[in-house]
Amino acid sequence: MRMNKKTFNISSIFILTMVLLACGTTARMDNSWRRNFNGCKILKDDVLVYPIFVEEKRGAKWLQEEKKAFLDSLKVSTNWILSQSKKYNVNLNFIVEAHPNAIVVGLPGKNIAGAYNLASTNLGVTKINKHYDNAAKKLARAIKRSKKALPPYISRIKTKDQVIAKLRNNFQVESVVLLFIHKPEKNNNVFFSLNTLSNKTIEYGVNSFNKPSLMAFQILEMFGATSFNFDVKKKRKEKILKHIDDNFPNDIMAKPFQTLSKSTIGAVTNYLIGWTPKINPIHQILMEGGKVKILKK
Amino acid sequence: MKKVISIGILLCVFLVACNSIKEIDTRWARGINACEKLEGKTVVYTIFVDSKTSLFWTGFDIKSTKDSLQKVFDWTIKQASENGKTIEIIPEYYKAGNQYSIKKKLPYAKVSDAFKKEEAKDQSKFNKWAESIIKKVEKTVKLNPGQKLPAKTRLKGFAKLEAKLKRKHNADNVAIFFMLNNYFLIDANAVFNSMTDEQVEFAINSGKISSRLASQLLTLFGAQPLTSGKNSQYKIKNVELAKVDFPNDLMVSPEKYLNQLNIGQFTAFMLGWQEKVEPQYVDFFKVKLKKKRDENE
Repeated sequence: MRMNKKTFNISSIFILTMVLLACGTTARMDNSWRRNFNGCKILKDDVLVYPIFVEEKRGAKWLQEEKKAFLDSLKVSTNWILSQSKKYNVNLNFIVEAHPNAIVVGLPGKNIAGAYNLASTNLGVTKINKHYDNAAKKLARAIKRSKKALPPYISRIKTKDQVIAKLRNNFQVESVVLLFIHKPEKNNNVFFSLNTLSNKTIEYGVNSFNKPSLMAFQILEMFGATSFNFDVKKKRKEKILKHIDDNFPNDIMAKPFQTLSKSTIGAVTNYLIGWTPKINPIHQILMEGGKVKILKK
Repeated sequence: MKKVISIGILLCVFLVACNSIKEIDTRWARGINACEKLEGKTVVYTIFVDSKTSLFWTGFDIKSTKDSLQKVFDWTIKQASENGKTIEIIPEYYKAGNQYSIKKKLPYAKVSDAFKKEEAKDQSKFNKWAESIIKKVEKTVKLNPGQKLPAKTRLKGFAKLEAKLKRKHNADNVAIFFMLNNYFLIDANAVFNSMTDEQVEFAINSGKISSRLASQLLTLFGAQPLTSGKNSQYKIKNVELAKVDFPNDLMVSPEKYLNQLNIGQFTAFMLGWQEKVEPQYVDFFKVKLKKKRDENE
């Protein structure tokens, strides 16, 4: 699946939206449901960001310097979110701790194109969830019980939510951002957040972009923020774009590929991640995500 | 999706025993069962339950839930003080040796499933579920040296636990909480038997949001949820007046943060803190179980 960079960027965000929909289908999206939902509820206090480097069975391996470069970018993204949180007097602290070893499980669907294909159907999303549950089993040995952990402990790890439960106990944190980091393919990247609208399966992120703005976008998305690239009719889309341009032209959820130094967190995103308790009704157009397609199995 | 969430957030069933009755006078709940008047000394006995469909309790989950409960107790004591009452709340948690939680499969996958058909027999399964847990739990509660239960009356299960806790702490009331760990899942919170004196009342909680837990505790003492809307299970006459006159009452706005909430005149009456209620609020006592037709309106 080869595309020029610009085309790919747009399609990746589109796919991202589709994945979200697949996890919680409804006829009409009300974005307020995203608030205080699933594992990452309100973006405050201590938050653990736990990236896991994933390798293909036959592909290139993660080099130490590649891992370091990724973690440096992740640090830039969390520092940027921290700087934003200070503007709103939110008490926030990120703990970034990478899983010690890379795990060999590959991508669901065998490659990035296959992963996107799976992500476009409910059944496919279930397969992706199973794929990363298998990955979770491989994490078990390396996640040792910390001195901070309190009894009762998680003894066996079979699923992603057990990984998260163990990490929450080890680090004594309420929220864990679990990220599976893949190596990019030539001219192709994977990027989606799963189960952010599910009340049955724990949310997590899958990413291969080494780009701080996208990492920040993904962390915010897991805490309830929504991409403003809604799947709506042309006329409504124009209205939405005008509203964004007039009110928060540099909001990260509108422009995830823009450099972080130019980006901001606008009123809608603020409200959705729990930094502000109310939202001005003038932004209602962004609270209605538009008509949502129910994906067929 | 929407429906599932609404069940999780709004289903606070307090009239389980009276499902078959068309109109209910909620004053029946005042001063009956194990939690009579919120006065004197109250023991809140909490049991952490590992069911197959909820998540395993870890030390962090238990600690953070205890923190939330402590906030509830502090808030309730402060509210009582503002209403001229001195109350004492003694928290006690189930622990048997190294076991901090007890394993018991729920009769349904979720607590909310018992209320789908609105049939009392579905809900009575939870009475059996709770009773079977209490049979085991009661044995772990030891009286202080020299304390004994009356020899003539042979008590079992709930009644024995209640009697033991009252004797042990010289308490006036005993509130029993079953806690399920659903930190990213959504399920209902429910209070059982608060309108009957045939079976001991108890609450099942599926989360650790302080305001919801406080609402459960007060419901055990006779307080009446004064919420309305299409997701509310009951129709309360003139309920809009409650929103106007008591906008920050816990039983009117349980979705707000606990520190923003108080106990209004009507709730104070239901808790036994006031002997009379203003005539304009008498309509709140009249509660009807909604018909399917009403729900679709």
